[in-house]
Amino acid sequence: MNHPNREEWMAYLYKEVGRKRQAELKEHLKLCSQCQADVTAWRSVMKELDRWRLPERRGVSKVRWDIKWAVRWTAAAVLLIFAGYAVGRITVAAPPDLEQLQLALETTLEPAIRQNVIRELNRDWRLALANSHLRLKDELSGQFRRELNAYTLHTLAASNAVTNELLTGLIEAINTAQAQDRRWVAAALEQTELNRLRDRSQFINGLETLAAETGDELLRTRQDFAELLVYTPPSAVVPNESDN
Amino acid sequence: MRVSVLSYLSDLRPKDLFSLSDEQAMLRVQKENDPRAFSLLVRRWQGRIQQLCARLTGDVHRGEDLAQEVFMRVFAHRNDYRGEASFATYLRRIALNACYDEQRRLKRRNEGSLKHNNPENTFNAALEASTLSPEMAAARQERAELVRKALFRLADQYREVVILRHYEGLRFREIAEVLDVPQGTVQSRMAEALTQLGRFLKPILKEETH
Repeated sequence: MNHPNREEWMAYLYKEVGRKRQAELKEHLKLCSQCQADVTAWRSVMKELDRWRLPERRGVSKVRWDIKWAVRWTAAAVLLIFAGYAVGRITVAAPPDLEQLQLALETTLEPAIRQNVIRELNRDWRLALANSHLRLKDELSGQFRRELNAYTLHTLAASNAVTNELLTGLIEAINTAQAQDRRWVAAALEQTELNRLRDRSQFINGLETLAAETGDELLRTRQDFAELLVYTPPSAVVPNESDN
Repeated sequence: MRVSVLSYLSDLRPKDLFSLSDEQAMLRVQKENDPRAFSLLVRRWQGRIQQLCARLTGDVHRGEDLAQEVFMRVFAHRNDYRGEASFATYLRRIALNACYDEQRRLKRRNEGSLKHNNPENTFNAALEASTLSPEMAAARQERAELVRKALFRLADQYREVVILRHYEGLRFREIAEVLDVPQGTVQSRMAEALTQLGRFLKPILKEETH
């Protein structure tokens, strides 16, 4: 025998299956003791679950219904009284007993109207309070956002000021370092120039010394050549002259 | 700050407002921050959400507080509602989350589990007392307390299905939408929950059959 699964039995127990399937499952239950035992156990649990009850709440719709009926009954009472009054005016020659009429109106209408007004006011005030709560919440949120924005702007401005201050300090430090560098470079250049001038002067002195020494040497060389030109070797002397 | 109540009273009952569906009202809340549309939703759903939260937490007073929190969440996150699910489904999801958040919060604070609530808050003892003799009322209250305790022995995934189906009367398809699981899973969880409850309640069920 094919047993329906547990999911299907749940749908059956909570009447969420089609009529045809419901009949089939019911038929199956008659024949199958195993499924019957399961379903019976589940049913008794379901019955037990009903024991845990919450307090019944007087819902808004119920209140509205009551108000509607109160208004209808009040209207009916007013109509009835006025109809009675009119009939009385027509049928009775005697003037109407105003005090009695007033008393009737007071006893019939006043409690109903008072109750109705109280209910209406209660409901309206509750609604108004709910709306006030919402509006208050909105306004508080708005205020919070505005204050947050102001605080953020203030913080940003303070942060900018500090940043500017720090940047100014940094620029000053950079300028000081650059001035120092320039001074160092100028001193180095000056030293280089002094070295150059000293070297140049030494070089010129050297050149002059060399030139002077070269001039002396040339003079001596020229004298040597002149001496050489006038030099007569000893073999060229006429021997006879001495002999003579 | 002073809010003029009269300004609300003057335009309290526009007939067109009451003809709005929940989804249309939510759309107005979303697009126009319309407080009247929101209060309409609150009035329509407050009772049912209070009841759901009370069942989920096992505490009537906590259920009332949580219902308020649920509506505050709905309003605070009004722009998150996409209209993919019905407003009822969306609202119940928020209610379930709020209840579980509360459960976690209580566990963290070691204020005692929701499973050990004050029995006086769990169902209407006064209601029972008004119609029954004191002995019978006490016996009923005791039995109801046993059922509540048995329910709170279930894992959350089983308890929520029982509460939504058995107490809130949602169809299995609707529960599947709220929990975002397949309908078969919901029915399977329900069967498992009833089976487990049968075991937990065995002593009193046995007593009844005898």
